[in-house]
Amino acid sequence: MMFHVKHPRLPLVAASLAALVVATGCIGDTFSQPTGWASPVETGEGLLVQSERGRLDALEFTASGGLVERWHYPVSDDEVELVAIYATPVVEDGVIYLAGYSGDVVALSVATGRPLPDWGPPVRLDGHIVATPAFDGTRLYVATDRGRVTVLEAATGRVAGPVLDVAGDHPIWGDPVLQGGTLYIADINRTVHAIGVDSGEARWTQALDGGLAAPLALDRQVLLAGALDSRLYALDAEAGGSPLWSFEGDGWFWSRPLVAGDSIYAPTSRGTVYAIDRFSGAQRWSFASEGSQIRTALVLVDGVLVALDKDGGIVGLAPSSGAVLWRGTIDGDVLADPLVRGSEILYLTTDGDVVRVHPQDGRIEELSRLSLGSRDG
Amino acid sequence: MPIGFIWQTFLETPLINLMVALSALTFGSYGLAILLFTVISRAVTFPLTLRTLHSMRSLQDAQPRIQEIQKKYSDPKRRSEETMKLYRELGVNPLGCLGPQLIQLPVFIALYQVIRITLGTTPESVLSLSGRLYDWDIVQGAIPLSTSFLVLDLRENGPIWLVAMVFVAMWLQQRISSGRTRATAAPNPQQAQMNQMMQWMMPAIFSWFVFIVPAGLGLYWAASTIIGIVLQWIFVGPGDFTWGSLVPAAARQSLGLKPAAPAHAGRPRESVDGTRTGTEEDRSDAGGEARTDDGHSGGQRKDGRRGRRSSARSARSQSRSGRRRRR
Repeated sequence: MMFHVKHPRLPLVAASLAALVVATGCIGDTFSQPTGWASPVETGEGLLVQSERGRLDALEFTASGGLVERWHYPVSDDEVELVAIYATPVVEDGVIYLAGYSGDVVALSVATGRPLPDWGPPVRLDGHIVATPAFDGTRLYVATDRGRVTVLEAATGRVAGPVLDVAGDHPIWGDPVLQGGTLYIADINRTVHAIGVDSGEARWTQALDGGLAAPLALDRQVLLAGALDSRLYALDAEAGGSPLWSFEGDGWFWSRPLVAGDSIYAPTSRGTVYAIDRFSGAQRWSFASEGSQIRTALVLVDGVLVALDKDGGIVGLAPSSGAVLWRGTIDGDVLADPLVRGSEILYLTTDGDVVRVHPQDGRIEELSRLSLGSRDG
Repeated sequence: MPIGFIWQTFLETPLINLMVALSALTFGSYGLAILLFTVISRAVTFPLTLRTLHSMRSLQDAQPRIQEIQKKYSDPKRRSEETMKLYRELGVNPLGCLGPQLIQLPVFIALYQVIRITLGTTPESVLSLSGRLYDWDIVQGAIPLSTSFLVLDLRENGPIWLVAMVFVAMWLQQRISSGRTRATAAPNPQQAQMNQMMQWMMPAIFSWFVFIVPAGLGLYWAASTIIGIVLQWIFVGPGDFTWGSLVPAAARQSLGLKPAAPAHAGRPRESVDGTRTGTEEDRSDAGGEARTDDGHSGGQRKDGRRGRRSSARSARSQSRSGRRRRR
């Protein structure tokens, strides 16, 4: 009681401070931790996957259908920390071009997983890399979250020409598209850019109403851009990016649109899949998964449209009607785009597990991971 | 229901949507949204703040009477009983300042999370935001949010100048509060030491928080503190605080400024039974704390406005206490 009489505010202050300290400690730093969502890539008889944050694993199929690790990058001697891998590794002629969230770009040998001697250590760019670099066979076009595009010589890793300040410091998260000497880039600040790769000059820019984080898709001259204003935009790439139509969904479009025939299939962050007429932008059908958000790209394999939500809910749909053919659940969260391998689909969970899905009947198999040196059969 | 669900559903998620909507209303400026939110939150809690400020003033006005009780009764139990009796008589709650601070605390923590979620730097953080937004056009279309405000990157840790601003604002607020206490009653050495410590410790701790959390939160805290100072100044008054009192005595002498007069000169004091027993000059003469003053404020102001205001407040306080007693 005397305490209250003398210092009535002291208990309050002490309690407030204690609560603040505890709360601040509890909140932690979870929101700023990038995890990466690079898609698995096929390399001959094996796979490249990000098995844990910032680590690329080369896996080989065993006779029994499992996977065994051949190598991983980086190893401790490499003295590089990629932090996370969002950009899907580009594989060409036995070389892997790998871009990490840290801004490091490196060329690795598919066979050994070691950096190419001609490249040497990774090239460090200014900014984080989320978008998969575009590749024209001789040069890589690497976009960063500082809105810039750096052109690298694929053979040497040398920077070719000036760094292009495309998006004025606004992040570029969606994969760019390169076609006919034009690089199409979308930035988070609601603008699509068409850049002439020879000149580095802007051919056109088109401002939209929503932020653009999804990978772009180019089908003939129609550029498809999913946006955070719940719209999917179709732009005429040959006519200055003028909008052809826009389709409004029930949530963000953050997945690469799938074009098949005259239909475009696109999922939203609210777990709805839309089939849209490619020419008019009119809705053909929609399917509400009642699951969580869908970021992974839809795939159409053997006449089945397969959609997977973040929490592992997977569904096979009839592409013509949206009718449900089968449903299932993958054990784990999935954000990475799938890999279609023949008539099967491979998904990579955020825990680094590889899951095989058979689109014909919806069978799901988790591919067991064997440790190095214990390959069977 | 788990506490996490309640926290997210009823505080965090509504706050996320409110901030995003405010950002849309303030031309896409998240910094302006934070400032607007600060004003709204202070306006919502204003009745509570006002009650607290009045309670604080009553407590401060009662300091001479509390001191008399402490002198009069040596038995701690009796002393405590008499003090509580006095509080009841005056109709004040010594923990009256709890309300606004208790409300501000969860808002502060929730805002910390909201800023981190809404201004996340990674693709995952932005993606996760989609699941938290209501299906309102104004909210859905506002993403991405602008992360810069003036020279601030609201996602990054508070810059030094913002840390300094929070420190100065909080120090000033503490100084004004503790100054009133000193002016109305000479504290015992222990209490004086405690006041002195709190005056520096609180700003230092909160400045540290501003340094380690996103600048957006520092902006909120700076704005909230400044609004708090303004409210305190308007509704309670600055007490014995004067800008001139910030100049140390040594510097005052070297600058040739007038020596300070005791604060609240001429202000009547009250005994336990409510009768006026003397003035602040008496107390100062009797060894009470003599504060420096620039001679242009408090009871020393030439126009006498401060003196009248203090007296008027004292009278209002008496009147209110009287009403409470009658109830």
